[in-house]
Parts: sequence; structure tokens; C-alpha cells
Amino acid sequence: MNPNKDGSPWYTRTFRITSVRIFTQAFFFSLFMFLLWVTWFSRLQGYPVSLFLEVDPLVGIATALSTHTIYRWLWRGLWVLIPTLLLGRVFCNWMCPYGTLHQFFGWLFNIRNNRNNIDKNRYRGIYQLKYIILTVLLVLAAFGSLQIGLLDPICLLVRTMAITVAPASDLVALNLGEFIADRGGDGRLVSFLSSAPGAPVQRIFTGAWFVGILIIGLVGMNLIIPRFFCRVLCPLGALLGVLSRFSLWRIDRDVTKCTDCDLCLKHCEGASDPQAALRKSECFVCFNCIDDCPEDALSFRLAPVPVKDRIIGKIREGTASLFGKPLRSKIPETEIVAPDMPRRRWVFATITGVLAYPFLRLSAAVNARGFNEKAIRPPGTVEESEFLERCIKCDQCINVCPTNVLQPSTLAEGGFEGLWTPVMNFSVGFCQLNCTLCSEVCPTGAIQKISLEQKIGVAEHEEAGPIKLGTAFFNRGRCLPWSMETPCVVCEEVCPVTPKAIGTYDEEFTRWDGKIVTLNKPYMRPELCIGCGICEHECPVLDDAAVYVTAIGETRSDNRSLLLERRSGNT
Amino acid sequence: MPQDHKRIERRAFLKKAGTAGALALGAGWASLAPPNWLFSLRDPDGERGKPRKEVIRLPENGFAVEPSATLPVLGVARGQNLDAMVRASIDAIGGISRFVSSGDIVVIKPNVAFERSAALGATSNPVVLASLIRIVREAGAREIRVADNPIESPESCFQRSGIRQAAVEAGARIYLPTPADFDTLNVPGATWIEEWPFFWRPFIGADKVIGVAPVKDHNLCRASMTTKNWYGLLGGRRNQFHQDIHGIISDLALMMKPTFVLLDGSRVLFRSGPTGGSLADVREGHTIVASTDSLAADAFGWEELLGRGDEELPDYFAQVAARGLGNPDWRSVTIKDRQVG
Amino acid sequence: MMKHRAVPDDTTPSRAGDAMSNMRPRHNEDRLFVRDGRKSYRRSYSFNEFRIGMAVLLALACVLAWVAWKGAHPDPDLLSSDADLLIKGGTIAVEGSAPLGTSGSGQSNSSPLPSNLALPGWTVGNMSQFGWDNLYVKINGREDYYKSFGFERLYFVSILMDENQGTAVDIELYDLGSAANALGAYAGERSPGTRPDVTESGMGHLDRNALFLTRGAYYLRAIGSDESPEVLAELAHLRPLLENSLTGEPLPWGYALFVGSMGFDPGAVAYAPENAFSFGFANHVYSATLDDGDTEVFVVATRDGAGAEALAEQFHEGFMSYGTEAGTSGGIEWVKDRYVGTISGAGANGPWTIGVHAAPDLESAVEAYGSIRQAVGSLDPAIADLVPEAGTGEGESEAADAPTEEGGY
Repeated sequence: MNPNKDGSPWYTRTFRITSVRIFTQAFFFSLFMFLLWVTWFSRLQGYPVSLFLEVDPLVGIATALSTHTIYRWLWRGLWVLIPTLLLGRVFCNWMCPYGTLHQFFGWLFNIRNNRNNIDKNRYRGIYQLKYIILTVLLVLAAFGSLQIGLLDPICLLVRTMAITVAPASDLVALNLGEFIADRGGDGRLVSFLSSAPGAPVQRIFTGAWFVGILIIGLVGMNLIIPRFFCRVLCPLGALLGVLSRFSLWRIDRDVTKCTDCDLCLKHCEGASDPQAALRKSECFVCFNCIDDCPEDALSFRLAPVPVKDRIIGKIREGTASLFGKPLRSKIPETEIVAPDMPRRRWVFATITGVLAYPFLRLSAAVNARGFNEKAIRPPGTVEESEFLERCIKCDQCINVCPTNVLQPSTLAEGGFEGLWTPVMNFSVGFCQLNCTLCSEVCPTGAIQKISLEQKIGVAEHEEAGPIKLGTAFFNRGRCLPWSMETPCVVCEEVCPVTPKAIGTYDEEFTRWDGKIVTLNKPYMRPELCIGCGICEHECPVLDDAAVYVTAIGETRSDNRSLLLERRSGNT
Repeated sequence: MPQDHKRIERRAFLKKAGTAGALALGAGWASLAPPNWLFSLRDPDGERGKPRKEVIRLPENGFAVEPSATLPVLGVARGQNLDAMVRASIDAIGGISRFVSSGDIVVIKPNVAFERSAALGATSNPVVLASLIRIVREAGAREIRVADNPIESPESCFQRSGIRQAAVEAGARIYLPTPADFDTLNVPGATWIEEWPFFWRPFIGADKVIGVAPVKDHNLCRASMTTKNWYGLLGGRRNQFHQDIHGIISDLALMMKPTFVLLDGSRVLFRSGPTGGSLADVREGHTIVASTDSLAADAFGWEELLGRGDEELPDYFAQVAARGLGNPDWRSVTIKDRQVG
Repeated sequence: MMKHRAVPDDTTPSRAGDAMSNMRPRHNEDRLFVRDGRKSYRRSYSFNEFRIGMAVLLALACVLAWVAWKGAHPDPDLLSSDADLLIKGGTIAVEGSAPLGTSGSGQSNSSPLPSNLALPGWTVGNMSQFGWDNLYVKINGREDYYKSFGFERLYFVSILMDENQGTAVDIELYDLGSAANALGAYAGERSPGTRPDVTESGMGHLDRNALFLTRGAYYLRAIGSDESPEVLAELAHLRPLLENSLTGEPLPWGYALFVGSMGFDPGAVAYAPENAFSFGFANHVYSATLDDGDTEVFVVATRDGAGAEALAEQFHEGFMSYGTEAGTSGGIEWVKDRYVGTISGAGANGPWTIGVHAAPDLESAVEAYGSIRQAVGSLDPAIADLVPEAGTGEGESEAADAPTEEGGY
């Protein structure tokens, strides 16, 4: 290996900081994908599958605003917060898997020439939008309506992966496996491709089409504006941008070397104007500008001082000098600390947030009255108003659910506030009695970590009883034994509690055709029903099941209880 | 120049006309040529476009071995040591070498219907399964496959019931059902399931089939034992079966003629079946039954293990017997009943 | 939309003007398959930068190791299958749930009943056993009573008369873990008016067609189906046989106190392993009923004087929950029941918590208290050391309740 032109050894060029950055991005993106891949019953083990959601400081800060607490592992947000205070927005271009995705696709489909690239990477006023979004979301969070999940990059990416990419990978593994098996091979060789190995049927998700269109649209926007999402929409980026005004290090431009060639903009990820006054709040610390500077005028420095006031002479007349060296750049400013948001716009954003709260909360869907009967939440979920303070719509619970019963809510079940939050759809799956996986992976405690003992109400939880998700009802007009003289009671067979929550009135019956049949007409014992929905799922009256679960009677809410129950002192 | 100009135009014209002509000809061929011609897509009556259903069949005599006039039909082993009991019960009906030959591919069908701990009696006992696998392997089986299509999610059912661990450690392969593993099975003479989706993948190349079923109370058919166990090989809309569960069980007996069955009476789920869920619903049976006649084994279980001899047998016993597929009067068949350990 | 493919990047950086020009490049830039590595226009590379880069890679390796370590150490409770065995308070170490195929406590115990139970003309039926979990199969509705007395196992056998199968003697032999429990269960079931015969190793009595016995930790009921001479003869045959064949042990200290020192009738003594007087805290309480049939004196052994004082205070508070102050006399505060007007009170003497319950008036209460106070003075304090955590909620019945063995799979 030959040394570089400056005489330094070859590896200082091969392993320069941008190379390390690309490797780091690939590492964190792979780690992110790996953790999603292990978010499944047979792979889970002890992996910190919600790690990226936990280290996301926006999740930690926003839930701290809405709940005044920091749940379980959310203190891990410090792992990102502290580097940001030292180095600036390193998260955005080193760790964030969504940023990496955008950067990769932007690079792959980039057909611009140098001049266009440089133009596209100049700062624009529209990049303020993210600060407005951040402010609105944080104000909403302070009121108890946590909506960061709509746009937080980690939540958005986890959700997208869970409900579009993961089932697509199942489909690929399934078809490929069938293809191999049909030719005599072992189809299970490709089960590693599947996100849900062992799932008996292809998983489906409500509204996957919309989430899919959204990700294609957002990634596609990179063709028009590079890193569109990161620069314009990302509320996490905005938060880190605000924080990075305190960062100790930043990119510094040596005005005695800079020739104002603007080449540093060629690959500038954040559009942070390194060719002029660096916008600290926009800089992703990607170091591309250092690589691209033919004059070695840029460097990453600890607490560099703005030099404008120390320049002697006049720039316009060409007599300017700094510390005795002649100035080559015509732009003396080197730093803009704070985000480019006039104070009136901060005020505007705050007022928007303040107004948005009543607009959202006065919708019927999320309140004690007028809620949707199909807003059936997973076991361990906290009461609805508290749930809305915690759920970040990341859909990890939906990803890990082994029966596919957890589905992203549409506007119908949860209103706008509840969009993409988990609800149960028993025509798709059912809540498996011995499973608490959703409570394990939830990063924010919207689904509190529960033990199996707690879920099924044994040992020290015997007095509290099992967690009820809702109550099942019979629609006798559609039930085969009740209305069609046909034996059935699959519902009783599959009822997992003991004694069974479904009983039968047995009667011998002479049918219309003279045959004598024994009909076991089922009825519900509401005290025993836990609302797991396996009866609804297995009911042969597929389209509009003759036994169906609704949210009434759920343990988590006193307002939605059904039977008169003794309430102990601390509830 | 004008000539050149013209020539270029002619060439371009011919190129374009040729392309257009070829496309038109191709389209015409595909849509008008008779259906049996190459590249023809013609489908005059809509028949060609319908999906072709491939129907499979199990061997004519199922997987049963030659019946024996001298050997007992029921081998009953009672005691404490399950491993010895499994061996003793199989030995009683002729020993494993009567059933499994060297190089066989053997499918073992336990009942793993629910995600329950083995102790709750809703699933086959993994200890019994593991013993059976070891015995079959000692007989020289080339491959042992353990397959079931559970009601709850398969991965968790196999995990929590302990079947996965027991089977894998004993040297068998687990077959979990995926949508691609089902084909339509033709069961000649069946009342309901003449054509029904069948968990076919594990049966490809299989030589022998052994059922291992726990003894369970059942809410609708009253008892779920070795005959009802074949339910777990079917897919599709199984929840319709309950409309004539006895007829379905009799169809199941017609569908699957196993090499032999093992009635796992180590734990008896005597009420709240078939799911159970509490140890209070389970008692120890201390009994393993091997049999070449599933129905006789089930009748034995009904009386001796579920202890319901004073009640009438469930309907399906009579239906299966009427088809000549088993003998519900277990006292009339040859039995070897042994106390082991 | 762009009409042309964009002109690829210039590969010769030097001046801004050059780089911006639309001169034809020397090579088409191929971003997917770059042979010469990524370009950079910078002039110098620093060793420091390389070192920092390596430090970052090291940090990544640490992250990877941490994730791998976390993965290898799952929460054992997450996928454990123990919880679903606990439904309805069932224990794991009972019949039907212990790991099968191994020897262990989960399997049938050999019965302590002798074999020659039947007189000529009678046949011994099948022996069956019931554990904590399936006890209700045998005695539905009454199992909680025996469970409160530390139930461990029930051995059941019927002795059938050959001539008439409807005539039978059912023997229920309860293993209750300790002699105190057996005596307590016995005392609780003895009908008023019957008198127990006391021997050194147990008690027993014949009540018409039923025989009740205690021997050590065993409590036995043998109930005949009728009062025919044959049944009574069989019971008469059984009594000495069982008294001799079941291992006995001396009566517990409570009996020594009440019967020996205080001269109570053995039938007046009762023992409550838990929940005495319906107080959740009152465990292992011996009590004896005075001749008036209502007043009870009771004693609980505790570890030391302080424990006894504390327990006495609990009793006092318990009595106060349905009573009012009735003055101090004989060294303790008395409580008058708000509803029935009886007097109760508790105090301590050494490691013993003693008291009087439901006395008709203060005077007799003080007298009864005085007698028990004097009687416990002569007890050997070493007895208290044998009593595990008496009166503090850690009872024997709880110990039997706890799972003692892991599930098989």
C-alpha cells in the first residue's frame, strides 16, 4: 500500500472518519433490523428488542412530559442525549436507522451533477417546519396527548417495518419455501427470511397499504430534496438540533484557507451551510464536508471561537487578515448557534399545540363515553387516558404478537389520537392465554410489564383475578345451536379458562326434518370471561361471529366495567 | 441527400412496421390459436382458467401392518416408570420390530392442540413422546417426524407443552404447519371430509404413522383420545366439524389407519376438556396403552382411565364400529395387561 | 423533470470553477462498483482521526457484545410455564403434576393402613389416594376444612360386606402433618355430647356407626353405612387394629397444659392452626372451653416475651374491633363485646400469649385468666422454641400450600 500524498500512512485514508461513519451507520442499521427480526416468540430470548425506541430521547422526554415519570428502560435516552450535548446531532448521521435509510436511497437514486447537488444542499426556510412540529408535539404531550409517534423516526420506522416489511418478508419466505419444497428440498431452509417463523397463516395488518405508501412517499422525497424527512419533518432531529446549540464540538471553517468554492456542500447531509456560517442545529456531523474540502479549511473542533470580530482590514477591499494571515474567504461568519426560527414562530407553534389538544381530546373515541366497542387493548394496558400519555404507536407489540390479533388502530377505533395504537381484532387472531410478550416489548409502559401470574390471576394476584380485555357476548340470532338447529359449541371447546366461561343449556331437539339432535346452546358466564376472543376467532360464523368480544368489562378501566364488583381500597 | 434521407426513413419505417406486425401476430396467436397449440392462451369456455385442484391420497390400507391372530390387540402397561411402561405396552402387542423396519420414515402425531404446560393434561406427555421416539429410533427408523396442527399458535404450543424440547432431544424433527404444507386429501367414502385440506408435508415419503394421544374429557364429543387425535392433521375450516363431531371422528378413523396408537394415560384430563387449565382437572392415570385398534384403546380409556364405564359410550364409537374400523368392546379383544415397575 | 442523464461528477478536483464546469469526465462514475475506493478531495489525513475511528469501532464492538449478552440472558419468567400450574391455588407437588417418569413425592405413597381390615364376610375394596389438588373429588365442599388443618394426603378405602354390597364402612385416613392438626380436626368434628377416650398416643371415640381416631399426624374417620350389628362388629374390629397399627405420639403440649395441669376434659380442648376466633393473625391457638360451654381460655406459644406481648396486643385490638373497653383488672385490659356483651381479653406470661374469650362477666373472666396465667407458669419454656414462628402468620398450612417442586416440563 502506498502512503497518501501528504505522506501519511495508507490506513489513515482508508479508515478516515467518514469511512468509520459509514461502517457505524451500517452497524446500527443492521442492529436495528436484527432487533426487529428477533422480535418474535421463538427468537426473542433476552434481546433488548426495543432498544432503539428506548435510546430515542424524544420518547423519553415526551413521555416524561406527559406522565412525569421515566418508564423502565427509557433512561437509556441519555446514551443519545449526552453525545448530542458534546458533539451535536451525531445521532442523525451515525446511529439513526431511518436517517441511514434516507441517506442510502438518496445516494442510490441520485442523478444530480455537482452543481445540482450543491444547490440541493443549501439551507432553505422550509427546514424550520420540523421545529414547529416538535413544539406542537411537545405541547400536546404536556397536555397528556402523546402524538410524537406519528413522526418520530424510530417509531415510524419500527411501525413501518412491523406492519409492511415484516409481513412482506413472511410472504417471500413462504413462497420461496414452497418453491424449494415442491422441488424436493427442505422449504424450512429459508425460514430465516421470515419475520414470523411458525405462524400458521400469513399475517395481515389493518391499513398496511397506507403505511406502505407513506414510507415510499417519504423515501421517494429524497429524489427531490435530499434527506427530506430529516431536514424538514423529523421532530427528533429538531429536538437534537435545539440541544446541539450547547454542544462543545462543531465543524469549524478556517477563513484564511477557505476559497468559497462551495464544494463542501456537495455531500452535506444536513444542509447546514458549512461554506458560510455553520448552522449547528442543522449539522448532522457527517464529516462529508471535511472530505470534500480541497483546501483542508474545515475541521471538527472543541469549542471554536467565532472569528468575525478579530478580522482586521476590509474584506471587500481584499485587505482583511486574521492573526496575520490574509483572509481568502469573503464570508467572515462561521457559526449560527440556534435554530433559524424567529420567536414569533415559536409562539405560533405553541399556540397551535395548545389549540390542537382540545381539538383531539374532544373527539368521542378516546373518552369515557362514546368510545368504540372494538377498542380492545392488549393485556396490561393502562387506562385509556393514561394509555394516550404513553403509547408512541411504535407497534412493537403488534410485531411480537404471535397470533396476529394485535392490529394498528384505524381512525374508527381510536380516533386520530389513537391512530396506529394497538387494538385487538378477533377475526384475525386471539389473545393467547399464556402469552405476555406485548407487555415485555412495550418501551413506554402503555402496556405495563406484567407477569403471567398477573395475567391469569394466580399466586399473589389471585385476589385481583385475571386481566380481562373485555367481555364476550352471544348473538343468538346467528348462533348455530340457538337459531339453526345445528350442533356446534366450538366456543366452549376452545374457552381457555377453567372452569369454562361458556356453559351450555343442553336439550334434545327434534329438527325440522324429524332428526333428533342434541343441541348444546351456549351461554356466557361473564364473571369468568377474560375477553381473550378465541371463541370469536374460532366461531364458524366467520364474517360476523355469533360470539364476539367488546371492550366492556375490561379490567384496566373502572368506567368500562360491566358487572358490579367489590372494589378494593387502592383502586 | 434527399435519397439518403428517404432511405433512412424507409429503414425506420420497416423497423417500426415489423415490430408492430410481430406484436399483432403474437397477440392474434395467443388469443385465437386453438388451446392445445404452443403459446396459445385461448380459453373458449373458461375451463382452462380455473385453478387446478391437486388431490392427494393416503395409501390404500393406510399405514397399518399385517394383522396378527395371535398377538394381543391392546397392550396395557401400568406403573410409575413411563419409559418402561411405553416399552412394555409396545412389547405387549408384538414389539416395535413388528411395526417399524430399518430405514422407515415414521410420522408421530402427538396432541399439541393448546399452549399449556404438559402437567395440565391438555397435550401429550413429552416424556411418553420422548420414550416412543427413542424406541422407534432404536428400531432403525431413518427419520422420525413429529407433526401437529395446533389450535393455538403452533410455535408456542410446541414450546410450552414441552413437546419441542422432548422431540428434538430424542432425535426427531418437528413439523410446524405453514400455509404451504396443506394439500387437499381425498378420503374415499368419508361423509364430510371426502376432500379436505390435509397437513401433507410430513407425510411425504412416510412409511409408518403412530398416534400418541392423551386421555381428555371433551365438551362436545365427551372424550378425546386416539381417534379424535387425527383432527390435528387437518387444516381449513375445522371449526365446522362440531356440527357433526361424531361423524367427523368416524371420518377421521376412515382417513387415518395408523401403524399403531399409544394412549397416553399418564395424566387424565377428566373434566373441563379439551383445554383444561388447572391441575385440579387432572389426575394421574399411571397407564400406557398401545394398540393396533384405536377404538378399542379409546374404549379402554373411556372406562378405565376416564372412569365413565357406567355411562354410555359417545356416539362416535358406534359409528366407527359400524364402518368396521374398530372394536368398541375392549373386553372382547385380546389384551395383555401388565404392571411395570 | 430532467431531460438528460445528469453529467456525472468530475473526478479531478482542484478549483471550484473546474469542478463546476460541464467538461466531459474521464470516467463515468459508477457508485455501485467503485474500484478505487471512495474519493476524497482533502489534502491531508491525520493519525489522530484514525485513532478516534478505531475507538468508535471498539465502542461498536462493545455494543454488539452487550446486545449478545442480553440476548443470552433472557428473563426466566417470560416464557416459564410454572404460572399456569398455579390456577386455583393448586400446588405443583401433587399427584398428577410432578415430573413423570422419575421417582419423587408426586407419586402415590404407600398407604399406612394395615391390610387385615376386613372381618370374615367383608372385603376390602380398592384403595385410593387424594392430594391437595384433587381432594375435592372425594369430599366436595369439605376440603377447605381439612386444608386449614394442614392437609397432606387422604387415603380412602371402602370395606364392603360380601352379602350385601350396599353395606359398607368407608375409611378416610387424613395425614395432616402434625399431631396438633390431627387433634384440631378431630376436635372440630366431634359432635357435642360425645366423649373422647384419651390414650398416651391419641384420642378417639365411637359415635353410633362412626369411628373417629387420631394417632400422631393421622386423623381417621370410619363411617358405616348403617347401624346394623354387622357394621358395629366391623367397627369394633377396626378400632383396636387401627389404634395399634397407626403410629401414635404423645399429645401436644396444649393438651398437657389444659388436661394435665388445669384438669379440663380432653374433649373441651380445641386447636386452631390458623384463623382462630376469625382473626387472621391468630395461628396455632390452643383453646379449652369452660364448663359453662361459652367461655374459652386460650394459649399461643411465641418465641419470647416480647413476641407474646405483641401478639396479646393484636388480640386486644382484635377484640376491640367489635367491642368496647371494659376496664383493667387482673393486669390486662378487658373488652366487652358490643353485640353479645361477653368479656374477652389477652395478656402475656413469659413466651406465652394467654387470654380468655367470651366470658359471661368480668369477674369470671378475671378468674379464668388467673388460672391459665398460673398454669402456663409451670410449662417448660423450651416448648416455645419448638414452635415455628407461632402466631405470626407463617403457619404450617401455608408451608403446605407453597409449591415445593418444579413442574416437569
